[in-house]
Amino acid sequence: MGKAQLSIQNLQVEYHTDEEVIHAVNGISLDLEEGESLGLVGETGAGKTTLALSILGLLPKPNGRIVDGSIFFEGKELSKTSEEEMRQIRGNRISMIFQDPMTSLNPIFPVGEQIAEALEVHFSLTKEQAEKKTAELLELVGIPRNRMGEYPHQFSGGMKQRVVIAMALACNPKLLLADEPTTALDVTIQAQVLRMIRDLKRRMRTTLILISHDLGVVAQICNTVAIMYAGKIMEYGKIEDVFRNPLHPYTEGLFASIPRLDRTQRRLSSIPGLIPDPSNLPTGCVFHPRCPYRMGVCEKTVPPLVEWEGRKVHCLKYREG
Amino acid sequence: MKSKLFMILGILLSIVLIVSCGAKKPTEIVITVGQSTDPIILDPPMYSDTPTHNINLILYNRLYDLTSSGKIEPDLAVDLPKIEENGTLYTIKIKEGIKFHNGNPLTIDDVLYSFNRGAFHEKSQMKSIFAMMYDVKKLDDFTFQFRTGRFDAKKAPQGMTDADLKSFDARSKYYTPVSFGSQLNQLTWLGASILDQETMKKAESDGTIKDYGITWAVGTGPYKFESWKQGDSVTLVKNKDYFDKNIKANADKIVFKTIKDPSALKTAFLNKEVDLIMNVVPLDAREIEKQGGKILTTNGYFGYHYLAFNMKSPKVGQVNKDGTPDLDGEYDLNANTAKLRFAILYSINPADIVNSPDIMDKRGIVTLQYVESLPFGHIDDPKGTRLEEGNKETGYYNPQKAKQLFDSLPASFKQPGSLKCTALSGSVHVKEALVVKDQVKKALGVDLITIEQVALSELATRRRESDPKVWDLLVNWTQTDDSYYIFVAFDGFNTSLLHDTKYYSKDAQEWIAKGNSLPNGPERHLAYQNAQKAILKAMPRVPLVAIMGISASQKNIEGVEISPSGSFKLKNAVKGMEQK
Amino acid sequence: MLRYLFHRILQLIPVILGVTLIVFTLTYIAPGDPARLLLPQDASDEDVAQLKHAMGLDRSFFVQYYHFLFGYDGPGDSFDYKGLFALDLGRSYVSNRPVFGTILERFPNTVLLSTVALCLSILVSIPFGIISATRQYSKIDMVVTVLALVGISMPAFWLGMLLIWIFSVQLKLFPSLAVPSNPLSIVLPALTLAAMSTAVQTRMTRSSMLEVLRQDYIRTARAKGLDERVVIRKHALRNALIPVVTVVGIQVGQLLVGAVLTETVFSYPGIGTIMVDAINRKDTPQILASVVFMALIFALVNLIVDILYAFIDPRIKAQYVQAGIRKKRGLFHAISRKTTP
Repeated sequence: MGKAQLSIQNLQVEYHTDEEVIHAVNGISLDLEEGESLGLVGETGAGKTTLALSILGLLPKPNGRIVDGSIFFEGKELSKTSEEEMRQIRGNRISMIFQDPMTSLNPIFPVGEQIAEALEVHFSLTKEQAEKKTAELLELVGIPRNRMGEYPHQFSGGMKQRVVIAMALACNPKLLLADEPTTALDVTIQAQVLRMIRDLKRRMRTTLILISHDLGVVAQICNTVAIMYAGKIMEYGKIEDVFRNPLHPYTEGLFASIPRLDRTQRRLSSIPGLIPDPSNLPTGCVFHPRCPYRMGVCEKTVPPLVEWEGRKVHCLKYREG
Repeated sequence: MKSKLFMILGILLSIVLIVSCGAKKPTEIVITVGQSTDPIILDPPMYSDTPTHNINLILYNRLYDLTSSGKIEPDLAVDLPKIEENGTLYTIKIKEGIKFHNGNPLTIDDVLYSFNRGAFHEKSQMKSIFAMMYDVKKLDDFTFQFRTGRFDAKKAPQGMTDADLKSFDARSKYYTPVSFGSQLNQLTWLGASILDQETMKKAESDGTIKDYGITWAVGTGPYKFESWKQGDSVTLVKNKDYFDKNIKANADKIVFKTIKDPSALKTAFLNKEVDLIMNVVPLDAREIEKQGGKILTTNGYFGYHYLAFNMKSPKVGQVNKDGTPDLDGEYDLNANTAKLRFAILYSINPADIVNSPDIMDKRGIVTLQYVESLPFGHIDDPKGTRLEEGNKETGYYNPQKAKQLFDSLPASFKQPGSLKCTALSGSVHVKEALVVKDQVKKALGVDLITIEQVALSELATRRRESDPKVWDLLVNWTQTDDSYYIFVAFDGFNTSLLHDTKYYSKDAQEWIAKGNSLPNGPERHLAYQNAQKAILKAMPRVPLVAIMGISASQKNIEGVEISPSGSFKLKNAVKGMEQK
Repeated sequence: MLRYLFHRILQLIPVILGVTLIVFTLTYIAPGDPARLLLPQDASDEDVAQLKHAMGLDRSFFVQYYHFLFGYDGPGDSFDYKGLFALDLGRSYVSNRPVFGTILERFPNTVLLSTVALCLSILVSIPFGIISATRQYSKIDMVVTVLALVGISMPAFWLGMLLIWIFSVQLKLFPSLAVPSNPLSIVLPALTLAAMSTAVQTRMTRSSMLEVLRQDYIRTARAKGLDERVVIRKHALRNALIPVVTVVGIQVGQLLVGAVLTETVFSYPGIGTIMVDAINRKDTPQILASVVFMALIFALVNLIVDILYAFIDPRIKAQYVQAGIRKKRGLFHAISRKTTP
C-alpha cells in the first residue's frame, strides 16, 4: 500500500451566517491512493460538495471555513497553503467539474477559448501551441476540432459537459473531483459521459473522486466508495464489498430504497425520517433518529471507527474484531 | 482593486487641473446684462417687451429721445420741431453725416420708409404711434413735414373706414387736422426707430427679410448687432463710427444673457457673472446691497399699484335700474354703490403695504393720486380735491368714516364674500389684495372680499371685458409711461391698459380731450390735473402705493440710466476695473 | 444580422408616426388660439380669423395632419413649410426661427453636456458597483448603497442649486452659469446630471454583478486556478455589464433629450428648455418639432443599444440572425406562393 496521495484528517467545515452555524462536514477522515476512484455517496445536503470545495479551497467566503482538521495532498497541507499557491494547484494538479453543464461554461466566450484559458493560466504557451492542444483535447472528448470557435449555447448538454471535462483535464491533473457530473444529463448521455470519464481516467492515470447520490453511477466507475451522512462518513470500502454486503444501517437503507425491476413492489421503500438540520445535529450517532437498529447508547456515544478487512464503518453495532 | 483607486485619483486630478487652469484674462471690456427672457425680434415696430427694449435702445435711434427725468431731447433730429397751424403741422430737420452700421448714410428717405412701415405694415404692432399722422412729406434730404389729424367719415365715401387707408397720402384726403399734444412723445417710442430703407428693400427682394431682427439687424445706434444665440444671449459690439462723440460707453461688447430662473439670475449677479439686472424684488434689493451691489432706481415714481372697482358691477359700480352700465352723464355720489366704494377707500391703510418687507420693503410711498412725479397731471395743490382727506403716511385711512358709511347701507351690501377680487396669480398683488381684504374686514366688520388668483392671459381678458359677473375688484399695477403721458388713469388712444376702469364722467372727458390736443406745457399739465381731480371725485380706483423700478448693477459700473419705462439706457455705461 | 437591422430601422417609422400623431392630436385639442396670441390684445375678431386662415389653423384635423406630414403652402409665404418628411415644420410662432434649425443649433450643447455627464457616471458607477458587489456587506458596500439611494432620491434642481451654493457662491471655484464655450462651467451641471445616472447605474452594476458572481461559470473559472482579479474582470464583468448596457442606453436617451431642470438651474442652452418654453407659450410648431426630434433620438439610441447587445452577447446575436432568417424565409414563401400557378 503506497503512501496516500490525498489524506483528509478529521476535517470540520462550518458555514457561518448571521442567524446560525451550519455544520457541513463533521470530522471526516479519508485517504486516497494514486489512481484510486472513490465514489462519494450520500443524499443531498450530506456535505459531499462542501468536502470537495474544501479540498480546493473554494469554500464561499466569508461564510464557509475549515474550523478543524487538515487536508494533505502529495504531502502538502492544502488547508494551510497560501491563496497564490492554491491557484497554481487549481485546474493544474487538482481539477474539479461541477454538476450542471448548462451553466458551468461562460456563455460569452467560445469553448475553445475557455479550454485554452485553462492551459494559459498554468503554462506559457504561444497562441498556436494553445490552439493545437485545445484541438487535441476536444478530439479527446469526442468533439470535432472545427467547433472550437463556437459558443456554449450551440452545444447540447452532453457535449457541454464534455467540454467541461476537457477543460478540467487540460493540464493533466493528478486528482479530479467530479461533483455529480451526470446528474443533469439524460440517461443515455449519462452513460456516454461516464464511459468517457472512465477511459480518460485510465489513460491519464488520474485519481478520481466521483460525488453522486446515485449508487448506479458510482458502481460503473469507482473502485472504492464512501457513504456520507450529515457530514460524516458512515462506511467506506471496496465497491464490491459494500454493495454485496452493506454494513452500516444507512447503507442498507440506501440499497433497499432502490426500485427493483425483478419483483413487484407496491411501494418504494424509504428510510423513515429526514436528514437532520445541519445547524442542529443529533447527539451521539447522527443517524440514530432514523436507524431501525437504534440502541439506547446510540444517542449518547459517537460511534468510533471500526476497521475490518480493509473496510471501515462507524456504527455501534460493530466492535473491533 | 488598485486600478480602481487610480481611476478615482485620475478623476480628482483632472478636476484640480481644470480648476487651476482658470479662465483666460479678457483683453476686451464686456458688460453683461442679465434678462429673464429672450427678446422676440429686434425689429422695433414688430414687437416690444423689456428685453427687446433694452437692446433696441442701443441698436437704433429715433428722432427724439426721453431723458430719465421725462424731458424730450433731440436724438437724430437737430432740434425740437417747428410746430405751426394750431399744433397740427410739424417740421423736423435731421442731423447730417449719420451712418447706418453697414455704412449707408441716413437720409429723410429712411425716416419716411420707417414711418410707413410702422404705420401700415401688416405685422406692425406700433401703428398707434402714427395713428394721427398724415400728409407726411419730404422737403429735402434732411427735412420732412407732417400733419396730425383724425379720420373724418364725412369726407369719405359710404362704407370707408380709417382701416382702409394704407398710406399717409391716402389719409390726406379724408383726415381733418386735429392737434395731438402727445405726438412728439409718440416719436420717442421705440416703434418710431429709424431703419435703413436701402437695406430693408434689398432684404425684401432677396428673401433675407425673413430673418431680419433674428440673425441680423441694422440701425444707427452706438452698438451693432453681432450675434444672437437663440434662448441664450444676444451680443452687440461697439459702433466706432457712432455720430455722437460725447457718449461715454466704453464697453467693446455688450452681452444680453437670458437666464430664465430668477434665483439663478440673482446668483449669477451676486457671483459677479452678470453686471446688470432689472426688476429686482425689494427683498432681493436688500440682499444685493448687503453683498456689495449697487441698487439703481428710476427717477421718481413711475408706476403705482391700485385697487380698481368694476364700474359695470351692480355692487360697486354705476348701473342703471335695469342693470346695464351707466357710462354717460353724471355719476351719483350718493348711490349705495358709491358709498360702498368710499367705505372701502377709507378702510385701507397703504402704509402696511409699503412697510411690509415681503411686499415693498419701504421702496415705495403711499400715494393719494394716480400720478406721482414724472408725467403731466400731478396734482400739486390739494385744495378743494379729495387729496385733502388723506395724508402721505396713511393715505385716505379713516376707519370711523368707513364704518359710518357702511352701516348706512342696506343688508344686501353686507354679505360676506360678496365682492370678487381678481389678482395675478403668484404676484405681489395677491399679497396686497390680502392686506386690503384684511383691512376691510377689520374696519367694516364683515369679510366682504374673496380673492381669486388668475394667470396673465386670463387677467388681460378680464380687464378687457369688465364682466361684472366675473369680478368687482381688481388689484394690479400700471405704469405711468411718460411717452404717452396719459396712460395713468385716463383712456388713451392706446386702450389696452385701462379697460377695467373706463370712466366717462363728462367733465373728466372734456379735460382729457383738452389735454390730448395741447402741446407739452403748463396748459396741458393743468388740463390733466383737472381731469384727475374730476375722476378722484367718483373714485373708480383706489391708488395704493407708488413704486420705482429697481435694478441692480455691480459696483464698478457707472453711467447706467433707467428710462421711465424701466429699460436700461446704456449709451453712457462705463465699466471700471474688476473688484476682487 | 443586416436583415434584422433593416427591419428594426423600418420599425422606427411607425413608432415616430405614432408618437407624432398623439402629440399632434394633443396640441390640436389643447385650448388657446395661437393666432389670437400672436396679435396685439385689442385685435378684432376678423383680424384673428384672417390670421388663422393664413396659418392654416382653421382647416379640419385630418387636413392639418396631412399638412404636418407633407407640407403646407398657404396664402402668402410666412407660414409655409415642407412637412415632417422634409424635416421642415416651419417657423416658431414665438421666435420666428425655423423650428428644426433651433433644435439642431442647440443639440450639440446637449450632446456636450450629456457626454461629460455620461463619462462621469460610467467612470464612477462601474468601479463602485463592482467594488460594492465583490465586497458585499462591507462598509464600503454600505456607503455606496446609501449614496446611490441619495442620488436617486435627490431632485435635480435641488442638487444643482446646492452645488451652485457650495462650489460657486461659497468657494467661488466654478461659475453659476453654464456656457458651452467655457469648459469649467460645465462641471457642475454635468455633476448634477450625472448624479441620478450614476446612482441608477451603480445599483444596476452591483446587482448584476452579484447575480453573475453567483453563477456556476464563475466557480468554474476559479476552479481553473484563475486569479480573482481576472475572474472578476474577464468572466464576471463582461456578463454583468449586459443589463447595465440597457440601463446606460436608457440614460443616454434621457440625457440626450435634454435635462430641463438642470438646464434651467444653470441657464444652459440645451434642447430640454426648448420644448418646455414652447409648451408654455403654445408654440405649436416648436412643440411638434421637439417631440419628433426627441422620439427620433430615443428610438435611435435604443436601436444602437440593441445592436451593441449582439456584439457583447453571442446568444443574442444568434437570436437576431434567426429572426432575420425567419423573416427572410417568410418573405420568400410569400413571394413563391404568389408566383405558383
